[in-house]
Amino acid sequence: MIDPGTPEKALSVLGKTMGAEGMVQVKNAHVSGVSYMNLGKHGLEFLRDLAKSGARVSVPTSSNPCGVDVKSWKEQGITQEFLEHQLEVNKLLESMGVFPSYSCTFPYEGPWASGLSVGDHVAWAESSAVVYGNSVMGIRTNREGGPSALFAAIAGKTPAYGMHLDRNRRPALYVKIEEPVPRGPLEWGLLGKFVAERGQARVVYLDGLGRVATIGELKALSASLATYGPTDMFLAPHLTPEAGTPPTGVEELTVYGEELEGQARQAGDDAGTGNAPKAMFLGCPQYGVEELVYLARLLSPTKHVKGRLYVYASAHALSSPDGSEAAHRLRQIGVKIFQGTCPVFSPAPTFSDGVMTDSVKSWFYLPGSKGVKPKLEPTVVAFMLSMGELDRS
Amino acid sequence: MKAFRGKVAVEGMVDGTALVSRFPLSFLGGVNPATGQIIDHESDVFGEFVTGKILIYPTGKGSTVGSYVIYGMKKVGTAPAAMVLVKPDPVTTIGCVISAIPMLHSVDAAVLSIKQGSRVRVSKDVLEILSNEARSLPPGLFALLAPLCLCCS
Repeated sequence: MIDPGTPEKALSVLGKTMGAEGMVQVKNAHVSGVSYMNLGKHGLEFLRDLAKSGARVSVPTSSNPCGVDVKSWKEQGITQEFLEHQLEVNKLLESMGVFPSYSCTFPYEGPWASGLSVGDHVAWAESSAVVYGNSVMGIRTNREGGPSALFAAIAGKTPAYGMHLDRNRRPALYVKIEEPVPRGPLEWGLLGKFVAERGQARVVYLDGLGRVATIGELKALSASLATYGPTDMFLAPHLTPEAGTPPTGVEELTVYGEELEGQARQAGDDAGTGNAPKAMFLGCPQYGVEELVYLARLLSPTKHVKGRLYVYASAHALSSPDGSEAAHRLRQIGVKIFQGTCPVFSPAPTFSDGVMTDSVKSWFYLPGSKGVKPKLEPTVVAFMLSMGELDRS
Repeated sequence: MKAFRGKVAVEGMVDGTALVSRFPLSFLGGVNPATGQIIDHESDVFGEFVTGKILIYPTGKGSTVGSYVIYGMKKVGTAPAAMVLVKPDPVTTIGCVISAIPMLHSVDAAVLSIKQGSRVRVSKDVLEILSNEARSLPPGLFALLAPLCLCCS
C-alpha cells in the first residue's frame, strides 16, 4: 500500500537529508528503471502499488528505453514471460501519464527539448542525458534516480540541491586537450572516460575541443563522463552556453589528442585480425536523425551488409522524414534497426559470440548486464573491414 | 550506556540486533531480497542476514532500483528493522521513506565500531547501545557455513 502523499513526502525527506534549499518547480521529468531487466519484480510491484494509489504525473514526463522493441520482440528472441512483465511496466507508467518515448535521448533530442531554455530546472534520471542537458543545453538537473524522477514527475518539483544551485555549477577541474582535436564518438567517449576517472569532479572545464562538434561526439562524451565518474556537467568554449572563461586555481589535467587517436586506432587495427566478432551494434546512446543519415550515406546502398549490424535508434528519430528515409535505406541492405530499447538492458540479442561497438559507455555496462565485454571500434568501417567487405587500403 | 546522535530521515522507535557493515552497501545486487542475505562478495558481512536487524553502514551505493528492492523486502518481511548511516544517500533515503523503515543518518563514523550482535535501540534521533555483546553466530560456525553460502548464492 502506498499513501497518495508518499511521492511528496519522499522528496521532502530527500531534500532535507541532502541539504537542499527548498524545492524547485520542474518543467519536465524523465524516468529510468523502465526495462524490466533492471526494474525487476520489486520495482514492478512498487509501480503497481503506486498506480493503485492514484498517482499521476503533473508535468510532461518521458521514459527511458524499455527491455524490448515492442514491434519486433519475436525476432529479438525475447521470452513471452519477459515480454508480459515489460508490457505491464509500460502500461502502468502510461496509466500514470508517462509519455511512451522509451528513449535515453528523448529529453534532449525529442520535441520537448526546444521548449527548454538555459536555466530551466528539470528532473532527469538518465545519466547521459543529465550531462548533455546540464552542459550543452544549460538546463539544470541532478542525476536523479528512477524513483526520485518519478516522484518529481508526480509532484512537479524536485529538491534544490547539487546542480540546481549556481554555486555547484562551477568547474573543479581544468582539462587542457592538446591537438589534434579528438574526432568521432569513440575518441570523445575515451576522452570522457579518462576525464571522469582521473578527475572525479562534478563539473569539468574542457579546453581545446574546437569550435564545432557532431551530436554523436557530444552524446558519446556525455555518456562516458556519466558512466565513469561523478561528472554531471562539462563546460567547453563554443560548445556549451555556460562555459565562460577558463577557471583558475583548480586542479589541472592534460589530455593528448594523439593518445586518444592512438587508443582508437589500436582498437580498429585489432579488428581486422584474428577472431573479430561477427556482430556490431551502434546506438548507445540511441541514434538520432543525424547519425542515421550519416550511417546511411556511409554504407553502399547496393551492397548487403555481411555479419550482423544492429542499430538502436529513438522512435522520435525514426518517425522524422530524414530519419525514416535513412532507416529504410539501412534496412534494405540488411541492417537491423531496433527502436524503444537498449543494447545493454534488453535480454536479447545476447551477443554471446562477441560484439563490437563504438560506445565506450556500453563497454562498462555490458559485462555486468550480459556477461560480454564488447570490442571497441572507431567506426562501422572497421567492422566492414573485418568482415572482408572492404579492401584494406 | 553509549549513544550516538544523528538526524532523522524516517522517525521510529525500534530495538534490535546490530549488523555493522564497514563498506557501502548496494541493495540491488548486494542483497538477496527473498532471504535478506548479503550476497556482495566484497562485503565484510557477506553471508549475514539483514532481516530484522538494525543495519549500520557508511552509506548506500549502486543503482537507484535499490530503493524498490528495499520496498520489496519490506513487503515480504526480509527488510532490516532500521537503518543507520554515516552519510545519507538518495537510494537508501527514498527506499526507507516508501517502506516506512526508520532511518537515522549523519551519525559519527565511530558508529561503525559497534560490535556485531550488540543490542541497540533507534529512538528518534538517537542510536543507543543497550548491551555490547559478541556476535550471535560463533566465528567457527560462520567459517563452516560460509562456503555453503557461496554455493547457493
